[in-house]
Amino acid sequence: MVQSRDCTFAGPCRRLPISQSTDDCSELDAVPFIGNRENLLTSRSVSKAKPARAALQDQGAPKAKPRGRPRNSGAADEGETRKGILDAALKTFSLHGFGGASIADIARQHPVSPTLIHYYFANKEELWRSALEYGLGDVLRNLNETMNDLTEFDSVSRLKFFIRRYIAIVADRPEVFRVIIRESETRGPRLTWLSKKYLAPLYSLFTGLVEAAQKDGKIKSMVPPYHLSQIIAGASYQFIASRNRMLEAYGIDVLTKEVRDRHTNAVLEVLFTGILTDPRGGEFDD
Amino acid sequence: MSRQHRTNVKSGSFRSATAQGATAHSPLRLHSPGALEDRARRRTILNAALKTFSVHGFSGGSIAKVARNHGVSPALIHYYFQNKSELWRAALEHGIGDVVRELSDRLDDLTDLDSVTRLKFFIRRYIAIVAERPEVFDIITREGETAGPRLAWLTRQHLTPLYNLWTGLIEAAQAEGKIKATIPPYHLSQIIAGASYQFMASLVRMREVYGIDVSTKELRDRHTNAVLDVLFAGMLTFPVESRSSENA
Repeated sequence: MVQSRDCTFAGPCRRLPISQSTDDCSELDAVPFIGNRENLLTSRSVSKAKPARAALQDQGAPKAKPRGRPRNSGAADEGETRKGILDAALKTFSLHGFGGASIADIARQHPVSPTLIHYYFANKEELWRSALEYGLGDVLRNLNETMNDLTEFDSVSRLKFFIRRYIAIVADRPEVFRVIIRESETRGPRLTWLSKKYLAPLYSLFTGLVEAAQKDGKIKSMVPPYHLSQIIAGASYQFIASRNRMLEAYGIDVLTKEVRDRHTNAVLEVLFTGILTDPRGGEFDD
Repeated sequence: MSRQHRTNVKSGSFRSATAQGATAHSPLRLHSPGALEDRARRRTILNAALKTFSVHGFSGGSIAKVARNHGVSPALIHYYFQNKSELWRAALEHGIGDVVRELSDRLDDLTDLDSVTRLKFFIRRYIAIVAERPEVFDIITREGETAGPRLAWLTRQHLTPLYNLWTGLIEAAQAEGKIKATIPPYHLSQIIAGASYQFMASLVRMREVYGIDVSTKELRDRHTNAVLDVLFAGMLTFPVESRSSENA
């Protein structure tokens, strides 16, 4: 944590027009984070300085310069600030896409100072990648670990557990999945990065579970695992992703706990046993 | 009339000059023999608009962008469409309006079939429609991101009629006791639509991750059959036996 903080700082130190002690990051690091940053802003750069900044600086100034490095409180603040920026970035990118959003947009729509964003992230690409790592990285790693912990369960129960988790994840992080959909409209380096880093791991979790259940002879093998997992994902995701459309058409909020739980149970029921009341009776239709 | 007037105002383009010339000197060109050509030109513009809006969204798209990306003259677009909103609405009407109306007629023709067969027919048609018109569904997805007047219009004009077809079929099958009635029709139809749509919508992702093209006929057919099999009979090889593991 502390290490990476120093590293993040190293970039902006060089970029900001600091007149003296250019590379002495440790000195800047010594003051509580907020005050430190505002001092930085008001004393140099400043072409876009606004009155609000002065006020912020006033708040920051009295705390000035405790000796030593109050790393703990600083790191916590910093974590919060960074998280705030990443949340804002996810929202903006999910609505406007990578091309349609800029650091200035993100700053404007979610009152953060653009300079603060630049302090943490070298450029839009880095911000975009960090936002996805923040939105999806831990989730995937946790899911992976949990699945490993469940190896004793039978393959169908594991697949069901995974589907439940998947629905919870897409419901909790609508922005992340909108960004993924947005990025997959066109091929390019961002989609390649996204696929390598997050989609392929997520898909292989999915297909691994489907494959295991197919090998056990518990679920049908009429299509390859990657294909079946897309059908499962679609059945799970669409309803949740249709939130605004469902509000508009039926006045129903799919994100309430009640509707979400009903959805999860309905998806499992439909996918595993089908929608027919009497499957054998319906067979002649095929 | 007002369109022609507007063309006059937006002068300076070769195409707009011809359009003026046509009305002034040979009115026939815009009517009898030209009518076909006229419709073709309009269709070209609407297809270009669908592509542009599906990639850039409404606010990110502009008449100039539509024109630039697809080699149509902006003046020609302005000749047919008053502004971006009108173009956007016309593009969606072109992309989905007829399809939904046709589908509705076709289902009416099939009233003699049993409800499950009709639902299966509808799912087959739905998959074909989303596969053939990715731009339209990209736009619907895009507009679904934020509530607003465009989503309200889209819902009223095109989504509700489409959803009504879905829920009508499901309701009928539920009323006959053929499909499970534990889930309300509007909800069940979203699960079916998602199972049908996602794989087709993942064209670029599937290409990137697995190197496969889901728009080939072979994969599309396999998808359709897989969706029907999963939805109607379930994925489990022995549904009844495995029931016990449900609550694990």
